[in-house]
Amino acid sequence: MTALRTNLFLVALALSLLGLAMIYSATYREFGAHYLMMRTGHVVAGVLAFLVVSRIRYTAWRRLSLVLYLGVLLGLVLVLVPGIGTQIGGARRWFDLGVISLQPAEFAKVAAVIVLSCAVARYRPGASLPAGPMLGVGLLFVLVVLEPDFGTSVVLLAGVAGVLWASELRTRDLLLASGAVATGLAGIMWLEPYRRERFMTFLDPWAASDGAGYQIVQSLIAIESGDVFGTGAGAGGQSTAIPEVQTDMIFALIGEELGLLGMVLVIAAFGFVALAGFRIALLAPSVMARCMAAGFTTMLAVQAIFNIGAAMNVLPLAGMTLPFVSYGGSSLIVCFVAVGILYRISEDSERAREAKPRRRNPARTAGPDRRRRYRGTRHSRALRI
Amino acid sequence: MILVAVMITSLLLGGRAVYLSVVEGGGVPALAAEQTASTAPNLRGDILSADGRTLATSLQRYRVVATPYQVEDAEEAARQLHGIIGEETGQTAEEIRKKLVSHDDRGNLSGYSVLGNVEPEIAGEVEDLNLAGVTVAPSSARVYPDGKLASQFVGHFGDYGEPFGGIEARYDQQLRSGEDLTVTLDAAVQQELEKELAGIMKEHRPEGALGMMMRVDDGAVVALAHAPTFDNNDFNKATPELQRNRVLTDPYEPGSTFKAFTMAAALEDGAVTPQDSFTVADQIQVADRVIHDSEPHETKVMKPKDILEQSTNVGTIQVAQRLGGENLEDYIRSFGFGEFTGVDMWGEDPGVIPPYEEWSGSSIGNIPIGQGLTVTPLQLVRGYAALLNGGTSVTPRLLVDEAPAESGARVISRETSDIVRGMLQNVVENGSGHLAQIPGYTVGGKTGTSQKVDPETGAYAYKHVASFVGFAPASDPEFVALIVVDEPKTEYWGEVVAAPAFKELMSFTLGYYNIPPDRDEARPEGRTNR
Repeated sequence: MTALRTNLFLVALALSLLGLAMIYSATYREFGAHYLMMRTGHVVAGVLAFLVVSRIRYTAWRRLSLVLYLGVLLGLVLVLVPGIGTQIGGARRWFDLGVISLQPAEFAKVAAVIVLSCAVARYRPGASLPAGPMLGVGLLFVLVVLEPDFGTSVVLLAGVAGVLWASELRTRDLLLASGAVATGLAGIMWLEPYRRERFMTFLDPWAASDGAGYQIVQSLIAIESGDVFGTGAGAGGQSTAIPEVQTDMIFALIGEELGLLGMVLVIAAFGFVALAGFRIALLAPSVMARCMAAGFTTMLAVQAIFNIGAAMNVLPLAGMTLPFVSYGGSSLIVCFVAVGILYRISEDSERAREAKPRRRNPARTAGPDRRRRYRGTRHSRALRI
Repeated sequence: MILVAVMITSLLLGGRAVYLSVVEGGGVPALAAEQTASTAPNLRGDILSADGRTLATSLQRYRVVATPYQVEDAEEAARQLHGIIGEETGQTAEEIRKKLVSHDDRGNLSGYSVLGNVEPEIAGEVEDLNLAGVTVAPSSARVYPDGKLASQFVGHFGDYGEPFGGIEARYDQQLRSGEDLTVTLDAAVQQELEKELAGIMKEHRPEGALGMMMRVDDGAVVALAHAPTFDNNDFNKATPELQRNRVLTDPYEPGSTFKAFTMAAALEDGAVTPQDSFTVADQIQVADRVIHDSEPHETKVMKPKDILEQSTNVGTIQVAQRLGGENLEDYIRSFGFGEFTGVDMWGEDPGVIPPYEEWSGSSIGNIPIGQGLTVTPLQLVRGYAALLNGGTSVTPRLLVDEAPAESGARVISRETSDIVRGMLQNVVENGSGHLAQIPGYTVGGKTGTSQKVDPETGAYAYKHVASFVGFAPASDPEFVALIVVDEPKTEYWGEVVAAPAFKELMSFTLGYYNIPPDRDEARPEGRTNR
């Protein structure tokens, strides 16, 4: 267990350092060391966030959840106000605080998972979908969509789905809810012309290789030019033509400069993050912890799959960052916060086990039994690793 | 099952990675290379003159692009943008607003609308506006610092990334990859030539004029100009006629300037020797036609030298008759007429030399005097280079780095070359070309005055092409230059209209390149030239 969570952190750290190198490689021609310095600061901040969060007992989040929710809600509302939120490329997503700019939507993802986990943990197994918490989380989702930040809103939903899946709520409700959400997402995508265009582009990027498909086509060219071992860090020429290469398209740069080898390692690293995260969820000491762990892990996994998939044109471009690797301070900090919480849950579940070794009372197995937590909780949808 | 799900996802993504980078990778480099050419951020290479002047260069610019369906308040955005880019792009606020709300062909707000190409500082100001749906992207602007200098030769690179004509088109690949090109053109000489052509345009009001200068030994083109010309920065305002590199695209009847080739051929063949005598009347019957000299004169006894000096049609035809039409055609072709010169530029026309089988009985009465055939100015200059450099053909060169072709095929012997060179020098010193004399230097040359064929009637119209081709120093030629004036309105004789411009151009060039004077009388008393 110790090894698992330590490795999880180390893999996250390794990915963020890989990101450091790739971001520098993508930007040194035009900006010199600027992005390198900024990114170094982000990594330091991320590791600090991890150290702080991993020292907070996961149960403490229950008390913090309301404050967290209200704070994020305030941030999401304020960022939409012209004059307070900074608008870049048609979207109002950032607070410009001079040295750093914050992206409240990133923190909303964390808040949604924590708040919902705390909420659903209070319900009995088999309870129906609780309206209050769902509306609360739905509000966050709507505000993120309004920015607009479609990519982050999808990631937020992924976190929510992870939480609900790990909860003990009624399966039928969850299926209905996911059906409704899927329809809703398709609607949002269809109504906004540029998203529809993106989807069409996904089907045939070459049809618009100098317009909407430009980013994807350039990405494919970059990956293809990388071959097995890549052109070497800093030597990628194709990737310089990709818009947003240091954020949304960093995987293309990895493909070009580190080749197939680099890509496979990155995919394997995310595979490990997902396995470790879900394992921590299964061994979690309580429903709330399990929900949180599953939520964060799902979030990271979905984000990675969509980002990597978009770069290789197997999934439509949604504008998501690659966790730990892409440039972006808020994003990196949030990823490390997630890892910190996972780390702490793993630690706490071990402590719980050590505190109450092998005591089992068959008489008390009925109902939500707190004592069962140290073996990991169990329910109908939990699937063995 | 989670394990399985994670592994399947990873394998799928990994498989796609393998497919992209390895399986498909082999087939794509060509496409990737093509893409780099058009999207690489490096700027298009410069075109430099041999003396280091920038003829064409690219500047970093930024393209201001709107995404109309993301624009929020077009009215306000247009007002703000107008304040910043209005002046540089020459647009009114209303014009900008229209672009901000442009629609695609399906009636939706479009996704892409270019507002203009601006300088980096202006682009920065646009970015600072933080307007929804307005972005800037790196781009470049092609600039021709001396817009009118050698416009047709340099060619043009359009705003949408296509080259038009000249060096820009021919060496598009190299320029795109960022390579700078140095052309053999010398900006100082070019400027002098353009000045002279402009002077001709003013004084003689012709339809047009053109000129070029070449080094006789290696075929390097030192100057090449057309008048009227246009400013390459306003390329679109010029008509296609102006944009054309007429020196190599438009063949014409060379007239008397061609007689030197007839003479060289006859001498080389041995049909005529310099000592031969001809009894030359002022007209001659050839088959069904009577050909006159330009002015009536007593029947005279002439040596070949006199025939060129007086530029007599009758005498030249008699020389050609001794050589025979079939031989003449062979020589004409070996001087490179009727064929591409091999110049590395697109659009060249080979001209028309009638094959001997198609000659009529009177062809021997007009081909030798430069009628009934067409040549481009470039071919004529190239032919003279071979006449003058000891008898070997040259390939016109445009790039300094281009290795000169190994010594070209021998067309005439060195002896013949020397004899013809002397005869042409005599033309300037004693004959029709005296206005081309340059103090301190020996100069040779030949005038040309031809009537233009009326395209409707097929007969010669009362319209003329006046020309002069000359070289210096005549004792050891360095440069050969040609001036062609199309339909001068004041006078039509080549010696009056074209020779003075040649003289100015050549004397400038000789001084500019520090060619030592080869004639004693120009040296002031008591000073010796090094």
